[in-house]
Amino acid sequence: MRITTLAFTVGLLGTSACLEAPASTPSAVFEQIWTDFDDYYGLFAVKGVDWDRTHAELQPLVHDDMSEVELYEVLVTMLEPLDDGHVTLYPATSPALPRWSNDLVDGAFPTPPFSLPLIEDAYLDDVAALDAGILVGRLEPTIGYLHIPHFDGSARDYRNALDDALDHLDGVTGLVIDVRDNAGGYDTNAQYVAGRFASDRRHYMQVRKRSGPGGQFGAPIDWYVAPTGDRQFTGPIALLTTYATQSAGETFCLAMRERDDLVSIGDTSAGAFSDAIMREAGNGWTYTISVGDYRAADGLSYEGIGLAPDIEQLGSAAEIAAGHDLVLAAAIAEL
Amino acid sequence: MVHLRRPVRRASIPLTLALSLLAPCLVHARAPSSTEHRLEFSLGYADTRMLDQAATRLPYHSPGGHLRLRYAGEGPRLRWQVGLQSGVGPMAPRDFPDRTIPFATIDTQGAVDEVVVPMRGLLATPGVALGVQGKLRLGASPRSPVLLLGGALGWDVWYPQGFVTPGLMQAVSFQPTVGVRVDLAPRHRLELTAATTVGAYTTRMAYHQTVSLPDHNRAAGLFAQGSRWQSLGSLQRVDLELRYEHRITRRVGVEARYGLRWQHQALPRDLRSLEQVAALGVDVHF
Repeated sequence: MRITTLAFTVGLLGTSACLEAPASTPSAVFEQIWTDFDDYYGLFAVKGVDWDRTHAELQPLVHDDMSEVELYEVLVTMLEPLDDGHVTLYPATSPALPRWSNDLVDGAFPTPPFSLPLIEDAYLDDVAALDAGILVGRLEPTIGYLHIPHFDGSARDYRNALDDALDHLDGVTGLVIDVRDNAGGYDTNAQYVAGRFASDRRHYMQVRKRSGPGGQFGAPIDWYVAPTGDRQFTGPIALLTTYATQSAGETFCLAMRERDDLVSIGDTSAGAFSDAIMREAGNGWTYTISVGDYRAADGLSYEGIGLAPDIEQLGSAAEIAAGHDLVLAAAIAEL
Repeated sequence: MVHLRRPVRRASIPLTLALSLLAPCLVHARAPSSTEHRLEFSLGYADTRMLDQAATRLPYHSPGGHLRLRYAGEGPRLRWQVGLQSGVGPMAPRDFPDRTIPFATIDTQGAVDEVVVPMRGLLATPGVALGVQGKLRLGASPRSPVLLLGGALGWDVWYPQGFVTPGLMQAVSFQPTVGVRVDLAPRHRLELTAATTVGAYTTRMAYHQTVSLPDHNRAAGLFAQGSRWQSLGSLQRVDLELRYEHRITRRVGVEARYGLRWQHQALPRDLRSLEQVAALGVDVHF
């Protein structure tokens, strides 16, 4: 029994010695969040933000007697100039405070003027729901429609879905790909799906990610889109986007824009391309950080800018309420 | 603690492994003359605590179940084991177990739709272990303690799921082991073993904590960006197990065991963890 007691004692001592909780005072939390962005954020240069100066300006406003609301406001002031839809503050232990990000209104994300039920009811024939939440149908006998709501899920889901979709769309000569509400997911899924519409290999993106504190980045990695799967659709495509098309939804657009026969229609995309990670502060608040510097094939960063469509057609809630999707109608007309 | 300034040469790991596995053959033994086989099945409680600074500043805690199925064979000079084990349980920050995140959207008509999601997760810790030890009786009496010297190869996975995934890793590791076994009385046996990892091939999330890589699925992206050989300079791990066995009949016994694993990995950022397991089980001898 002595040995057992000793083992438990060693265990408990080890636990308390090596797993010390971080401080949770307002000044500690401010420093933790500032430091995490300093260590991981990949876009200071792109955004033109001097992070040390941000610290110098805001740190004097922080003291341990301040309220949660006051701390929240200082943190929002710190994060707002990054103008990054992938930077979010979740005051998870303070339910009265809303989730914050530049693209939220009182903690809620404004959905774009887009209605999938309307499209199904008013525009589509021969509809089928596929893996990964993908919907396929025909707008006209020779014009197909593919709605991709996200790029989450497994590679197998996308392989199966695209196999089924291309079977389903046999004989179409033009295709509408709708990513107007695509909130992103995994860039590799987006790369694979774009490859189902590629006829050759093309460079579409270069990415470098943070590899250490002190502004370190790993080597840039080039992303190419090339034909994937057993067969591809290489005819004309209309790609529909809105401000809600973001993250992997946007890297998909970067890959698709390298096609020769593509027209993009709708609204400018979100301008939030990078992978983002979630970190946590000592008071239990969490926050997300963009860790990469993503560049298009032209070498430019569209973070905070977004991808402008070839044809701007914003759509409106009134049109949707009246049973019309003028963005989709414009796409049909283009094809 | 030993800190190696230079990364271990890859060749030294298999060399150390080979020497350690040969060690049992150099040890004399004067114990039972026939080979005995034993199948152990045990079930218990696992308590895992960790602070993975690569993923979060918060210590995480996972209380859960633990299961181990192990075959052990034993001859006059050697004994050997093959074991499968897994722990599984909920996982949350130790000091904030009940946090939630609201996700709200506001549609074009102004209607707000909110979903509140608990920030808890799950931790599964499957593993496989192979071990060989030589036996050396420390005295002339058949009831004298037996010294056990050898090595083990293990493959361990930590698979957390949740918004934050501290501890995500796999490790193929080699551990020299030492133990002592005491027959307290007829049918009552106590054994204490200790092991420390001297080399491992590990995979953790890369510094940037993401897995995307062109033409790689998520698992391949994780392995390609976060795998490395480690030795004592960057990884320290100690395993202790205390096992009590009561042989009820010639064929059947029961066991109680307590296990502890402490580890520290320095790359890409500090991870410290402590797992404790308390389990009860049944042994079948054949």
